[in-house]
Amino acid sequence: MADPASRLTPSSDFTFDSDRVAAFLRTLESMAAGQLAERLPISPRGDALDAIAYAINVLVGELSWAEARAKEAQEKKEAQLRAAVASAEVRNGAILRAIPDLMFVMLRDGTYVDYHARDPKQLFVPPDTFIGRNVREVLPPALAEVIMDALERASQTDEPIVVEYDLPIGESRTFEARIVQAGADRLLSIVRDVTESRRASELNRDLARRLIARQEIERKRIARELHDDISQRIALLNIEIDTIAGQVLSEESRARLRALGMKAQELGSDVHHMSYALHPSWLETLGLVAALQALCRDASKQRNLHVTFTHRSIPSSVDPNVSLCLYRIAQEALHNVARHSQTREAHVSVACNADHIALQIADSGVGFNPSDRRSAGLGLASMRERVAVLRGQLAINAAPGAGTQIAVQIPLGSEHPQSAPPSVLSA
Amino acid sequence: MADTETAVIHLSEDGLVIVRIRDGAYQSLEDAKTNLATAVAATAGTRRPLLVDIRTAQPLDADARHHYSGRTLVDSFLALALLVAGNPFGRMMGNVYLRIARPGISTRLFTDERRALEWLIQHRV
Repeated sequence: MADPASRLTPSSDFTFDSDRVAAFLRTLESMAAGQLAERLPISPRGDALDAIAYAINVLVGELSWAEARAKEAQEKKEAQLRAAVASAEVRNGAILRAIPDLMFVMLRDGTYVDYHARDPKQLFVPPDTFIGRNVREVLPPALAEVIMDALERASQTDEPIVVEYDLPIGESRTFEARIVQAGADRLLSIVRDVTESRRASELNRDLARRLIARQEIERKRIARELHDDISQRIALLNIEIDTIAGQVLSEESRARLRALGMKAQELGSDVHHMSYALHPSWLETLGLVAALQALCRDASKQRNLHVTFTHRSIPSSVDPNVSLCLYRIAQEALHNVARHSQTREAHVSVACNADHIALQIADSGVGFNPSDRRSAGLGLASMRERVAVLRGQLAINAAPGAGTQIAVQIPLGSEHPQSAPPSVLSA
Repeated sequence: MADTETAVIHLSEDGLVIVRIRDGAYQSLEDAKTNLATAVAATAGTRRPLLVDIRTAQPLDADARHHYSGRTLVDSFLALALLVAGNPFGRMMGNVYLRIARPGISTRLFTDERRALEWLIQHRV
């Protein structure tokens, strides 16, 4: 049996020239030291040393190649990222230049971190006096508390919190701030000067208020004319007819005169109803609940409806403007029920709490699509105007085949709308 | 028959594309692109078997090796026979190509050209 060690004895295939081996080892050491561009020498012999050299060259070459490809990919990715960032910066810059709004980046504790103002004159105070400072150090105390509350609420929801407030910048100006979350512990407040649009709205509202008031005065005048003059003259006419009927001898003529008297009586009754519809005097004398009750009763009788009425916690004295507004809306809504709903059933309710008075008129008729402009007649527009004048809210819940519900809320004290404090409007 | 700086390329009567790397030729990435494009042109638009004779060629750099085994090889050829020298270095060069480049078509090493051609002929369509 051969000595195992003899198998380790190099054969002639593994006998190499010493200079060649030395060159091989030198290059190998250099490559091991990091000179990866070098390659081990390969002779024309194509022997085992050349095979080993080739294998090592390939491995080092593959390593360099993989590194180069990874570097290329990384550079390409970085270039794309830089391009995307540059593009985003250009786009954001353009957006910022185009937006007239003020923007403030704030911490949840109310500290101003950054801002954008196309026109620095829009700022309440210069930037160096508010960046790094807290809202409470910068804004008037009452407003600061409203903003702090809004920041806290905005940090707990994904929805924007909207705050409207006045600030004395030259003259008193009205701003609307929309506050949203903008990353960890940060909030973005986009502030728009809404002074002009609010003034325009106020002017519109004032105009509507005056138009409605003028319309009511005119209605009242006509109602008085009908009641005090036409109605009385019809009554006198009726008495005259009765008197004549009592004097004629012909039975036939007497019957005809009595029939004429009945018609005059009906005419008087119609004029009376018309007078009441034009100006519900009960509203002034007996109050909102009694007037609405009478309205529902009359609608049931005259329009062949079955209108139920409920009321809760209505004070004996309600502001006349509010009473009239609610009465007119109920009147118009019941008119619509009779004309369009194709049902005879309706329900009217009115209720009051510490903040507002609410009216609801509901029917289970054919309904309609509120977003369909063809459905938006003058009656609904008039309702909206009346409610807007009193800073109330009107909601129409309706759908084809699902009935109609008109809900109105008028804030108490709405007859003095100019004294509204800074407020959180919506979430 | 087409000559490039580092190879002689032609379509054989058997319908095989034959690429012979010139004696002692070192192929850069550009040479590899030229040679492969010329070999593709030799197919005349039909996928064919390919014989590459690297018996006397210098070793390939990684860039050239990867180019030779890329998508073009798969799209234009059916099988690859690599003709290598019978010595340890030749076998190593062939095996390294197979192991590292991993071409996406049937590939075998040969030291005998006749057997290589016989094998390739089986891969004709």
